[in-house]
Formats: sequence, structure tokens, C-alpha cells
Amino acid sequence: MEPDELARIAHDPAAFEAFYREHVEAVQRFVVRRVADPHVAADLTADVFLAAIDAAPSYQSGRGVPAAWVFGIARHVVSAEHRRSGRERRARAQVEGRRLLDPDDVARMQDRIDAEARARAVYAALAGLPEGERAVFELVALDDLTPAEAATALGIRAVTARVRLHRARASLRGQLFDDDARPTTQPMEA
Amino acid sequence: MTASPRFEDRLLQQLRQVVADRPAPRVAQRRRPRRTRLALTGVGVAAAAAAVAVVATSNDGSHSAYAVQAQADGAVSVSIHSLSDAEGLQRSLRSAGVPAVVDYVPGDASACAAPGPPAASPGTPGMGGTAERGATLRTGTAGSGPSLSQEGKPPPGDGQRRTTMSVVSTRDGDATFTIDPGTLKPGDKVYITTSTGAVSSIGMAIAAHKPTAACAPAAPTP
Repeated sequence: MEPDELARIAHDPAAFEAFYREHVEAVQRFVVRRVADPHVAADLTADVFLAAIDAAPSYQSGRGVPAAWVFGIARHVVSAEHRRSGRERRARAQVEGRRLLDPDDVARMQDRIDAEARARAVYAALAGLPEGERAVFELVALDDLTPAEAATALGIRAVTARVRLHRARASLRGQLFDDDARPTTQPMEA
Repeated sequence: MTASPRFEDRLLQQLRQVVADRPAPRVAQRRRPRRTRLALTGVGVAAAAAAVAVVATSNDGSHSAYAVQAQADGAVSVSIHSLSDAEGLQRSLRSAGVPAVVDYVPGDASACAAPGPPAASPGTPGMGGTAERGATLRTGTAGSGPSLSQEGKPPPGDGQRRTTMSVVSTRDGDATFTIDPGTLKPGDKVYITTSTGAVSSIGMAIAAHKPTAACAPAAPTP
């Protein structure tokens, strides 16, 4: 989907479907790099697309390619989930993702979750970082965005993103990467 | 995508319904690649009809020179990307109910000094704005006549009865501002001018008469 078409997803179901099909797998993987519960992951996947629908009318192509834009939204949604109770969110959700899961879906979501265990370990280790550094580091280290894409996803300048990335790496070095014998977090698989 | 996307399909159907249930967009499209003028043609209709979109843009090559959008609350938002089509912008604004006077001639005195018939400037054949509601539009560079020669002579002491400036903000290099025609008083006009000839110097003023002293109207031309 071209950036110019993105605003249409807010009111054109066909445009939305094209957008959804292009990004739904990436969004689910993004979510399970941060949460390990299949039902919460399904809820958050729905929430990310609902938030994208709300935000699309104000999207401008200067804000980066749609994939980075979606990750910026997804990050906001998942972070917000961690800041408040699930019960509170559920009361307002337009679409409850977990109610759309059948057992096969749960199993497939669990497969995604298992595959991303290492990423979640990194994610958990980021809790002590300042928010700005953490945001950039997440998108680059967990989600494979370039620093420039992370900058557009977060609405900051590329040079700012690089500085924050550098700082985040410096403060994490002792926690994650130098302590080979007893890592602070225990990756479950290589 | 994996082999059996059941959750994904169910979620898609739910979300499609959410999209379909949303209210219709107030603005159908932002800048379009070609010169287009959509929707309202009647002057003054936009102010009365909430939730109707006017989209007017003009093309100066790769970018639209400007965009005019009617908001649901009756206000009209304007975004100016380049100073290439003052006439088109003025026409679009008037179609949206804004009594606009667009004058991109830099506001220095020499450009305003030369008297002459308002439409006499060569090289600006499309000066259709000349006769519209009595204001002259200049798109030329110099010597194209008094800026508001058909406006009538301002009553003494009333030349700057009410002026509001600096509503302009620049974003991505464009000048953007919003005008609510419903707040204008009878006789008010919305002057869009530039002091240096650059987009960054665009100013918007609401006044009964052109507020820039350097380009004050000369004697009225019949």
C-alpha cells in the first residue's frame, strides 16, 4: 500500500483489508515479542489495528513508510497495556481479539510466542531504561527496524534515535551482553 | 501468512465492520496530483453546510501549490506549498465561503507604486479573480497595478479597523492556517500576503481593507 492510500483505511473497508493482510502477521509477531499470553496477544493485535484505524486520517507520508508507522502504533498500544489493567482495557475495546480465537488459533499463537522467547527476555531486561531510549532500542533490537525507521515510527529525528540507541546499548551492555556466565535474564532457547 | 488463518480472518471481518460503521470522512482526499476542484460551487454554502468537504488543490508541477479544506465545524483550513497560483487559491477560498484576497507580490512599496488598470499586467492572462467581488488579484511580479484598485477607497480612519495576523504556521515547509468564515464581520476580507515572496513569509490578516501599509490601495480605478 502506498503511503498516500493509508488514510483511506479509516473509512474504506477494502483499503483496510489490503492494509490488514499486509501487516497482520508482522503485528502479531510484534506483540508476542512483548507478551506471552495468547489471549492477551489476540486482544492486542485487535487493539493495534483499531488504533491504526483511528490514527490513519492524520497519517502523512512524511511520517515514514506504513510498516514503520504501524510499529509505532503497536508499540504505543502494547506499552499502554503494560501500564494499566487488562480489565480496564477490556471494558472499552470495540473488538475483543481473544473471543475470536479457537483452539487451533491459540496453538498457532503459542507457536509464535515460543519462537520469540528470546526477544521477550530482551524486552523484560529493558524495563530499567529511560522511556525514550527504550522505545528506540525495542524497535531496532526486537523488531529489526533500522534506526531511521525507528525514528519515523516514533516521530523523532534520526540523529536523536541514533543517540538514544547508543546510550541504551551502553547501559545494557553489563546487563545483557557481558555477563556470559549468569545472564540477568535467562533466554529459553538460542 | 500461515496455513489456516482463522483468527486473522475473523478479526478482519470484525475490523472491516468497525471501518464500515465509522462516520463518513469529512475530507475525502488530501492533495491530489492533478488540478481539481470538487464539491461546492456556490459561494457561501460551505459556511452553512457542516460536514461537507471542499477539496481544492492546484498543481505547479510535482507538488500542489495549495490545498483548501472545509472542516465540519464550518472553518476552512488552508495549506500553501508554493506561491505559484494565487488566483486559484483565491477562487478556491471564495468557493469555500471565505472572502479572500490573495496577493503574493512581495510587500515592498515599489511593487505597489505603479498605477494602472488592474488587469493590465502582461503574462498573467488568467486573472479571472479581477472582477470577483470587487477585488483585484495580482500574480505578476511588479507594476501590475494597485493591489485593491476595485475595492473602493477605504473610508478615512477605517483602513485597519480589525486586523488579525500571524495565524500562519509552517509545517513541512508549508504555510497552514484555518479561517472560520462565520467569525468574519460584514465587509471583512481575508488577506493572504507575503512580505518577502517566500512561503515562509506568508501572513494572513482579517480586515476590511488591505492592512499592509506599503501596499495600501491607490486611488480607485473604475
